[in-house]
Parts: sequence; C-alpha cells; structure tokens
Amino acid sequence: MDPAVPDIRVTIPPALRSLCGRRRGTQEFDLTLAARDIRGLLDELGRRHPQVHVCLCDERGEPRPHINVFVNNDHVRARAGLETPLTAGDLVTILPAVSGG
Amino acid sequence: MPSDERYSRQILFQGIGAEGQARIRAGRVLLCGCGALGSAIADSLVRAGVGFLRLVDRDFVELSNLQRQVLYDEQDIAEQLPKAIAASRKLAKINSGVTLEPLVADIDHTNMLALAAGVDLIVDGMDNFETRFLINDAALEKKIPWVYGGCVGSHGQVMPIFPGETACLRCLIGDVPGPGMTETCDTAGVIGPAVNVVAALQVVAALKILAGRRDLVDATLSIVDVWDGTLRKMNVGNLRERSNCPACALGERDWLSGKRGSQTTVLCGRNAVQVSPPVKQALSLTELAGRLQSAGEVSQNAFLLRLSLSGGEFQLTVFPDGRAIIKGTDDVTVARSLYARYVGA
Repeated sequence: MDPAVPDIRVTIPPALRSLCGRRRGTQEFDLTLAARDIRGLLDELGRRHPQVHVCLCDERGEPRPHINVFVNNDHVRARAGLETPLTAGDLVTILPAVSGG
Repeated sequence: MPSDERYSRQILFQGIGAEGQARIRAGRVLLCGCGALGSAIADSLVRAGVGFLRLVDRDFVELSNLQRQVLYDEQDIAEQLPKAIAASRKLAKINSGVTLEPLVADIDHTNMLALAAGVDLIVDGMDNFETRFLINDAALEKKIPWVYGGCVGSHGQVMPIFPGETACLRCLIGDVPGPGMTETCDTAGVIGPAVNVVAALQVVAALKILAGRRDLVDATLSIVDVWDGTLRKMNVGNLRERSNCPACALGERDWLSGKRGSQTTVLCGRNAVQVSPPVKQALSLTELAGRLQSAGEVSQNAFLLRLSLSGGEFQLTVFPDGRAIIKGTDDVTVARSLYARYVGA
C-alpha cells in the first residue's frame, strides 16, 4: 500500500469547525491531514475527529448524499471518486449542500 | 417614464448593450421564494427591467425577517402581509414597467408545472431542498434553465443549471439531506451580506441567460464565505456524465410525480399538523436541541424534543425518526414552513 501523503489541507463545513477546536481566521483551510487518497483522508478524519466524521459520512464511511468533496477545484466524482489520489499540498474541500435562503 | 434613461447605465455596460437589454425586457422569470435571497433577487431583476416576474411564497412578513430581507418593512408586519404581496407592492413602486404576478402559495407537485409555465428562467429563493428537487424535476421536464442558490450563516453556494447540458441538482446532491442534517437560517443564523452576495451571483447568471449570453455562464458551483472573504468556483463540468443521475440521465421525476416529498396530516380537533420528512433517517435529538437553544424554550426526553417558539404561538414536537407535530395551526403550509425552518430538510 502506498504511504500516506503528508500536508493535505482540508476545509470542513463552518458549522463543524468548533467540534475540532478550530476557528477559521485568515487561513484558507481548517486541518492538515496525511492520506494517500480521499477514502484514506475521510478515514483519518474519522479517527481524529469522529464527531465531525459522523456528520459528513454514513456508516460505510462514504460521504452522505448532501456532502460534496472537492480536490482543489474538482469534484471527486468527476475524478476517481474516493480513490482519487492526493498530492502533498492539495486542498480538499468538504462541502454540505446549503438549504437556507 | 422613458425606458432608455432608466436603463442607460446597464446598456452602456458592454456585457449587456442595447440588444441584451431588449432581451431582458422580453424575459419572463419565475422566482420561487421571496425570503432573504428571493427579495434581493426580485429587487435586482425588477430594477434591471425583466419583462415579467412571477413571485411565489407561502409565508408572511415577520420582525426577524427585516434584518436581511430587503423588500420588507415594519408597515408590512403591521398589515400582516404575505411576502409575495408585500414584495409585489414594493417592486411595483420601483419599476412600473415590469409585469408582476405575486402568488401566495405553497409550491408542491400539484402546482409546480403550472407555476413554471411560460417562463424562460427559474430562480431559486427557497429555504428547503424538497422544493428545490421539485424545481429541478420541473426544469428538466420543461427544459427551462434555473439557478440554484443557498445561503446560511456567512456562506452560500450558487449553481446555474441548463437541463440536458450541465449537471443538475441531483447530480450534485444525490438526495435531500435527512432531517436535522443541514443548518438552517433559523438555527445557525444568517447575515445580510452573505445573502446579498449569493443573490448577486444568482442575478448575474440570470441576467446573462436573459440577455442571450448563456455562453458566458460557467457550469460551476460558486462557493462564497463573506466572513472568511473567500469566493471559489468549483468545477462540476463533467459531473453529469459521471453521476448516472436518476433525474437527468434516467429521466425519473420522483418529486414532480409526487412519489417523493414530505407527508403532512392535519390532526383533527388538535389545532396541529404532523409533518413526516421525505427521508426517513434517525435524528439526534440532543444535537437538534443544541441548535434550537436560541429559537425558544427547548425540553427533551429519550422519546421526543419539544420546542416552544418565543412568541408562544407554536410548539414543535420532534421525534427521533424526524417526524414532527406542529401545534398551533391546522394550516399545512404554516406547518411545512416551520418544519423547514427549525428542523430543516
């Protein structure tokens, strides 16, 4: 198995930041994790911040239907889905659909 | 009033010009929802000179709306006006050259196609996903472009959708979120500038489409957070090909056919309505209780959560399966609205 890639920058939904002790300031990301692909990154998020993970992923560890995941500016489904490989410095954006209006 | 003078600055703008302005003047738009996004969108479209605007909303103006819903004022509350009517009165004063069709109605599968009849574009000012999925079905069915927009807290997102050409809402969001899975403006709050930026992005897409410049509309999901000062354009260009979407690839119209959607039952003699969400999913009453602390008095046991709204008029009793009994009304529309605002779907 390929080793985890370090320095993956991750943004999580604003509503969940307090669950991992974050308050976004001027940085464009919330967390830095190590993972070789998106599936590994979500697993790592689950290990470190289970309260955040349960809001984003179902019991199979896959993103819930209203959660979209982007690597840099591309939707992961338009790449290789959860198997999308990561490169150091990538920005992963985990984004819930917004219902308010 | 001379039309040329009114629109002179917009015609001077190269992206629109005289031809674009003439097309905007001939454009017909359905605006679903006249809340925060809807009132900002309506204000901009009417000032820009859209030819016809059908505004649909189920709610009345309340004091907590005035902080961000730009078309309303204290007089509208004193007169207990529905939002569609109050909005239409203001808009008529702003531009008497626009034909306005205000409708006080709950958008559902029985009226959606009639509401979308004869329009060139649908713009989303809704506060819930159930209606957005219905708009998506109708737009696909009638091949009408529409512009999704959502906003909460300080952030929001916008995506223009061209049926049969670009990713639709179900390509992006597989299903409506389960009850309590998303923030709502009544639980997480919302600030006016976030609303105005999201509405502005929707209106820019709308103006390009109406002006005949849809080639200039990117098939992207714009995400913005005004508190962080970020605006990003996310690539969703080939999502449609990759998603095998039930709605736009397989042609299913689950929401428009009435197969999907929340179920409401008036509880006779109890002045109450039961709302069952479209998605059955376990709901954490403890998490919901945390979110509702500022909305009113919250009590909870192992079986249910009860929220008594600050005015004392309504009481929401929410069960772990997402079902809720809304006490204080026998009006299904009021109950659905309260459910969308406080539980969210």
